[in-house]
Amino acid sequence: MASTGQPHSTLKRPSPAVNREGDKLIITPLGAGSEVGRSCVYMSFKGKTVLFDCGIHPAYSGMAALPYFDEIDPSTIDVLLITHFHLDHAASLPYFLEKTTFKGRVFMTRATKAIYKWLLSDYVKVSKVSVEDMLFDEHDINHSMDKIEVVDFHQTMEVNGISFWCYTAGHVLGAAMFMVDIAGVRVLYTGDYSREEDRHLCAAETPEFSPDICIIESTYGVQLHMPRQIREKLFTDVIHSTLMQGGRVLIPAFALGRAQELLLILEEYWSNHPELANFPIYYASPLARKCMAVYQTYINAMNERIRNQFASSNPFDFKHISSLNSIEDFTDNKPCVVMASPGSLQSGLSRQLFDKWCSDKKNACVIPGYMVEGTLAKTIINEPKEVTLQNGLSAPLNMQVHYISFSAHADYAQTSTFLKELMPPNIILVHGEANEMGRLKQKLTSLFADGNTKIITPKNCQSVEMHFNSEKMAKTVGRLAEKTPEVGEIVSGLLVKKGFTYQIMAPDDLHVFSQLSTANVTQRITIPYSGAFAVIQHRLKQIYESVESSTDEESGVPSLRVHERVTVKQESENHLSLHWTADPISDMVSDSIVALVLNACREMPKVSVESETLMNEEEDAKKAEKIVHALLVSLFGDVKFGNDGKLVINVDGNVANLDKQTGDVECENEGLKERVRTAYRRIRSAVKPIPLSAA
Amino acid sequence: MSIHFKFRSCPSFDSVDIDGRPSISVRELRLKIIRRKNLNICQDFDLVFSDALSGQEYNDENFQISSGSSVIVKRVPAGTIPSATK
Repeated sequence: MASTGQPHSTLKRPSPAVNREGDKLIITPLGAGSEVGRSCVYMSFKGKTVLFDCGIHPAYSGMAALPYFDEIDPSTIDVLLITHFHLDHAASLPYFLEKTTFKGRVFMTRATKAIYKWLLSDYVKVSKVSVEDMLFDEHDINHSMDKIEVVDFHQTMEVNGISFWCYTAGHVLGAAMFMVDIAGVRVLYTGDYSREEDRHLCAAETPEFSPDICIIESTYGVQLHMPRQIREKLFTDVIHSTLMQGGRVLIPAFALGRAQELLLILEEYWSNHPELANFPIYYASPLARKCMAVYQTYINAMNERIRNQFASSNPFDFKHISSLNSIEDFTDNKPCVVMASPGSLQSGLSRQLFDKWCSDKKNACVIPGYMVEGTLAKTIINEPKEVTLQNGLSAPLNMQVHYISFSAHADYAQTSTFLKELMPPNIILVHGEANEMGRLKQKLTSLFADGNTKIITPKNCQSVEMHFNSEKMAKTVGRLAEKTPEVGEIVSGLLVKKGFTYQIMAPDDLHVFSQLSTANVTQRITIPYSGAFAVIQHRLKQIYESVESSTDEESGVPSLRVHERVTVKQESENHLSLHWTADPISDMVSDSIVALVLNACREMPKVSVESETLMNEEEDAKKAEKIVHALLVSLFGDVKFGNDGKLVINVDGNVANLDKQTGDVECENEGLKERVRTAYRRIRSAVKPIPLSAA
Repeated sequence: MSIHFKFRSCPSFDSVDIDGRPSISVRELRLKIIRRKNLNICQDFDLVFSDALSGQEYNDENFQISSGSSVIVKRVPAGTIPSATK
């Protein structure tokens, strides 16, 4: 499988059934899962979260058009990557930035950012829904521009442990495929892509190595596109014949994107057919001229052919195409071609013209792009007898409807070739109608029947979990890397982790290879001590081998250096100070010195207490007597001091005499005698400690 | 007399008026919010309600939510909650 010329396969082994929280990768489509529209794919791995695209569903308006943002917590998203400016990939960005808890960073290519602004402004103007229903307004779009960061093709960015870069995707100007790398696991999100070059765009690139997971669009499923020339001929033929029979041609398309390709085709065709010179072509959008200016700024993102054309003249400077700002500017007095937005025919100028022209069979509507389920464009393809106009009335549909797709998505041939070249072990299909996607999955499964390729088609909010058991690698750098250690040799250093990369280095190299540096902490402690310094010195010498005495240079006081680490100085008659550089051993040495000094303080008064111990013994004896007496009272009740030091115990008339010194008992009652003797013996042994040795 | 609600991904609360009633059923609240947010143009989603303070989901359609309560709304694709009745 790994032959030269093919991308390298990854080193990952799929993890066994044992789940480790840290190695679980989750991908959840919040939109475009088994549908087309509102592309938004959530990915989370090792605590890092990425969101791919943020679009709206063209068939709906208001909140219903949004991806299912409630499924996740927007505040946990680190990075949001937008592949291109089409509405179903970028149009919910202002909403997401302004009206949810999202606080991460947003990235897109330069051309995408510039065109996004105008396309969304166009969208806001064109979709005349109620103010309440608007998800965002011009202000939100402008505000979002500040937050969007720009990334160039092939430029690697690193945000919070997430690395990413993008490849050319074809499709529209500035469209990108993003490759994201988190802890060595790579995910490729294609967005919308096309591997066929056209008049002004490059074909999609193939990444140089294969990702672990490929999230790929499946718009055209198992269909195959007709060859480019045939497609273009069909397009121009339909327009030509419609004009010849006196009809008008409506081409619903958004102001920017595939429209530019179509205009280039029409311009070329008109130049080659002077008989059409009287038939005007209109490019209708409120922002037509501004959009074109922006488009022309980014010729560097276009293919070589058109860049070369620019050397002589601006290919977008159309001689046969004029711009139209609104329907008021339009005089409908002869056959013409009008390209108007939106492409879905849901509202706006294209809808107004459609309503006007749909009942005349001479007219034609050429749909040049993919039609999303639920939109009027999709409905009329089936040529129903009647349609509902914007004002609610019905009208017969007599105009000719043609679907000629220029939408620059990969067809089955391109998809299968692309995946065969990449050979990703996991393929996630998004951005396709459920049936079409199902057919694609079947065909791809049989295509990859030999290998271990998993193909998944999740629905919206359906999470896909994968486990990756990646090896952690730590590289030694600097001094430690100078010599390869032998087997069995001990290597020690600091392990520095940055994002997901690990390095081992010597502490001295820390400031060279990282932004960290080591510092020394000098500690100082002062202890009250009024004894002789010599005592301390003497005791320290008993514990430590190396005790050097000297005189401190600055203050002239006697000082000791213990164990080559701690300096003890006699600052004054009443206190000592210790100085040392903090490290585990020095801390231990200083602790022991502190204990020693404090001990010395405590011991000194003992010398004068010697005489007290004698007195203590006398007190002890008195105490013992009291205790013995109290215990006997508690046992026998009536205990009195008799003459000659004996105790007289009286129990129920029986009298016992107890000699405290010997423990002998005199009593007529044998039972009482025994009891007293035993009791006294026990009391005595409890009060006086048991001698350790049998002396 | 209103119920405060917020979609899970939104930072701030909105409110619906419940016409002076002391409480409103989950079913009715759902309809009100759908109408308020113009979500009735498509059928492919469901709304899941949960209490903002305790996090507990309101699974019973007839459960009465009292006025002044705060509710978190989660918009999910249709068919993901087996218990909800349309």
